[in-house]
Amino acid sequence: MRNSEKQTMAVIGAILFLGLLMGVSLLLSQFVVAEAQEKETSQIQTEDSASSEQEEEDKEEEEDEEDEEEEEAVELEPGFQKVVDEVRAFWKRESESEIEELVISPFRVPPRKEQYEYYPCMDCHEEQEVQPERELTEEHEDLVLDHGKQRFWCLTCHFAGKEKNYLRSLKEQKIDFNESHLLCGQCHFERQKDWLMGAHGKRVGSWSEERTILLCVECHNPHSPAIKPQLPDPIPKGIREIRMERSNQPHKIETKHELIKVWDRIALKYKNERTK
Amino acid sequence: MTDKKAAPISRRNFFKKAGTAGAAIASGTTALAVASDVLEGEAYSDALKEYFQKHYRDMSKDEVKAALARIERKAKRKHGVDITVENTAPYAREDTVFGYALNISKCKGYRKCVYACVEENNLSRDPEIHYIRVLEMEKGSMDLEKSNHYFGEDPVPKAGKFYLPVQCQHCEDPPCVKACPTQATWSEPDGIVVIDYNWCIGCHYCVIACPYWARHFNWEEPVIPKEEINTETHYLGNRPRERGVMEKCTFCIQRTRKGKMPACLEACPTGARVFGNLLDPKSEIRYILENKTVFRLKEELNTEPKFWYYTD
Repeated sequence: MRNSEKQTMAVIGAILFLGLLMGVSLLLSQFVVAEAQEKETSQIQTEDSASSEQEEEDKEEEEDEEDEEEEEAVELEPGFQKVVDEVRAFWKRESESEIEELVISPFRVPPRKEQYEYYPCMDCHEEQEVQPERELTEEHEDLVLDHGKQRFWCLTCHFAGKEKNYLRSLKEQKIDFNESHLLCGQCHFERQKDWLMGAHGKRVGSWSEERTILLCVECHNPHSPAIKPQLPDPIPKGIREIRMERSNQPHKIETKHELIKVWDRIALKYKNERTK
Repeated sequence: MTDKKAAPISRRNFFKKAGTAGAAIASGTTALAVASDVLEGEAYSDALKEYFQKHYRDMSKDEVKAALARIERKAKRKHGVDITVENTAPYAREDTVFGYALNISKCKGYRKCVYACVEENNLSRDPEIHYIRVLEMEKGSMDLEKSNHYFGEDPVPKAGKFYLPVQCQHCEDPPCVKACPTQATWSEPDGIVVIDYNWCIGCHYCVIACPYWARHFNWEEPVIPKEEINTETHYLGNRPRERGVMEKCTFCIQRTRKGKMPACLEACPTGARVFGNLLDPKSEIRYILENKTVFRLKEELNTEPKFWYYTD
């Protein structure tokens, strides 16, 4: 009896084993086929793309540039467009395509003009004349000019005539006070590029929506732009200090979970009962 | 069968077993009875439900909703403040992965970020917990062991020093997550490493695993002045914590998942901090990664931090 049972068991085992093998092999074969198909398709795709790339390369470069421009046709803020034009003009030796990369996204600058105490300048300067000397004695005497190692004075960036409501570029162009970065960018063009691209300066508001970045003058005083050393916020308490404080106090026992409080009360109750 | 001897049930053993079982049952029932006396009504049921709360990722929508309401009620009882706890869903992995970049040539060590973070994230004021450590380093050296964490008696920046703020680096391959025995910490689809404070048992394995000293433990019940509690909170972020749980920087999950900037970035007076979406090719952080000299802390450990330091 036992022998026959063993035999039947062996047969069933063999059948099961074979079945398993079959299943595994089927699965494997399907997998292999699928992979092969994928490879084929990807190869075809790469071939396609390679050929198309070649064709595109064969075409005239101008067309490509036009295409890129069409793709990146974003409505730029007037200030931003101006900057791009300026930078283009400045970097004449660079090719067009490299300058294209400068544009990442249009931005907005929080208006600054309205915050100025003395703006619009022409309110006072309609009558008052500009002082010819370099020392300020009657008005604005609190201004300290420490910019460019004494190479500049007021009329480097401000107009002497009737255009006082605007800033003055080195080419005597008018620059709006809300676009003052154009003025700074005349010398600090590398910084300006960083600022435009987000590697310098500060973005405010949202990381995902409209890009709002602060103007240079929000952080740097244009008349004395270097940032002065200052005392930092309080020093964190060191572990040793905390230990010193705690060593004189009795150990605080405040429990974590509300339920544990309950267990504590129960323990106390039992303790009291026991002492009775 | 005969060789196996049945243990004779002695009278003494029987009474021992029966006695302990009875005592357990009795103590249990009395415990519940006493408990219901101490914590009445809602507080009692809340405490019980919190005790048996599931892991955050295992809870159904209704269960999460109930848990959020429980936390709000508890904050009201404990701190006397009406807070809102949310569980803003993560961005999809395909769209958004958060990254951070910090310009160490701009950081001057003013520590504004440290205290902005304390206020935003309801960190304990006593004992102090700071998610951000600003290290004063010798110029030309990256020896973290010789850095000074406790600078600040003189005005900063000092000559010959640079400042290196260190916080949670939100690694792609986080060693803290690997170390956690209860899976109370994990990496969200948008790349933020979070903790379920209810599931943390406070075993400190993650502290030991983290090479950036980014995890902080509540050794005592956190003390926050009532009027300084930030009432806009997130379940995985800045909701009030308890004694005995781990906590860490979450890139201000309660803010960034709504499109806002992290608090440390908003507070930075030098504009050294840049936050953004690593998958957006037009984002500022991508420009920095592609065009600036960047490095990551302890890169050789292959933790793949999503926190870069760069220089001008």
